[in-house]
Amino acid sequence: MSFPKNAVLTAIFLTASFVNATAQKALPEAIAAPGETAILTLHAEGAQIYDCKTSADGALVWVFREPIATLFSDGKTVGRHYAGPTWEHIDGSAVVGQVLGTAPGQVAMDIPWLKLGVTSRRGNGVLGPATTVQRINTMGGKLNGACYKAGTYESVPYSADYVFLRKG
Amino acid sequence: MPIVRNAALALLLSSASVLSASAQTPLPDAIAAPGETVVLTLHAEGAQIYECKAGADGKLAWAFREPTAALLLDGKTVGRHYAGPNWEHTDSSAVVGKAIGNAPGATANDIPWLKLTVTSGRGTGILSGVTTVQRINTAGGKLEGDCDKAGTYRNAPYSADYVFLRKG
Repeated sequence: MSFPKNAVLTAIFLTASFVNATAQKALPEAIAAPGETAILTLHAEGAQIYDCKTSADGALVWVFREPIATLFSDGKTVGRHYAGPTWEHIDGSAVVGQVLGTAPGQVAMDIPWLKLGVTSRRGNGVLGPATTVQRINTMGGKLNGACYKAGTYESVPYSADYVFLRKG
Repeated sequence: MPIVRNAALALLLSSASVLSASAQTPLPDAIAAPGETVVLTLHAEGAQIYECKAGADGKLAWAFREPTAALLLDGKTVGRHYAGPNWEHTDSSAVVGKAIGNAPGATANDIPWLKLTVTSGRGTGILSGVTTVQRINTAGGKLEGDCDKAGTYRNAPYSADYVFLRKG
């Protein structure tokens, strides 16, 4: 009985370190956060919202407006991601970030991986100590090219993982 | 000059009444709210999130999980729509609804139009006192069919207008 239990436990630890390794080891330098410790990783499902706007040369093009996503952990909805960019946990803690570095997504349809520095925070909870947010494992979300009517919107579905880190 | 101004005003007024007419006149009986007054109409851009789950027959199929959308008014982001279903205004007023009627969308890819009754509210603001929410002018958001792995998610982008009404 103790053998299978240990085997299961080992499998869990192995899985955990694999997940951790893919999240951390493979990160491009531009979005790495050396010396910082991951507090929490949340999966995001949602959309990147674009606005049809006139560019400097007078052409109508899609311009990124804001993200909207649900944040998941272990199959539970634990927060929301929206304009700011803001990440808000249901425990009441929230952070706002500013982009410090980017790296290309896996394919042309994927929005870039990002490193963001936390510029403000509110509430008390799990996100409270976060100083850096990484957006990794992006899928979808990109929209380029011409549009036809200024002021119209387009939502492009995406998913990603957000890693919240603290200094030290 | 006054003629031009009046013409512009007339155009504004007539487009406003056309908009109002298209929002109200053709509503199917199942989602109509006779005797109620429109408080506010917000445009939503976002995604309907689906989860891969085993159905009653044991087959894996996409099941609707929750919405995530930004609420927009005159080009400004004024709130968010998320699981509950919740509609939350940036003035902090929010309502939660429960579907009590539906009507098909314009095409097979569009989620249904809905009538929801407000079951709870919080905060004080423009959504306070709202008793009914209608989801109209839906585009996209539908996802049907088989999936391969339980617990995976998929997003279907959608847009809609949410009409908030109060009794009397």
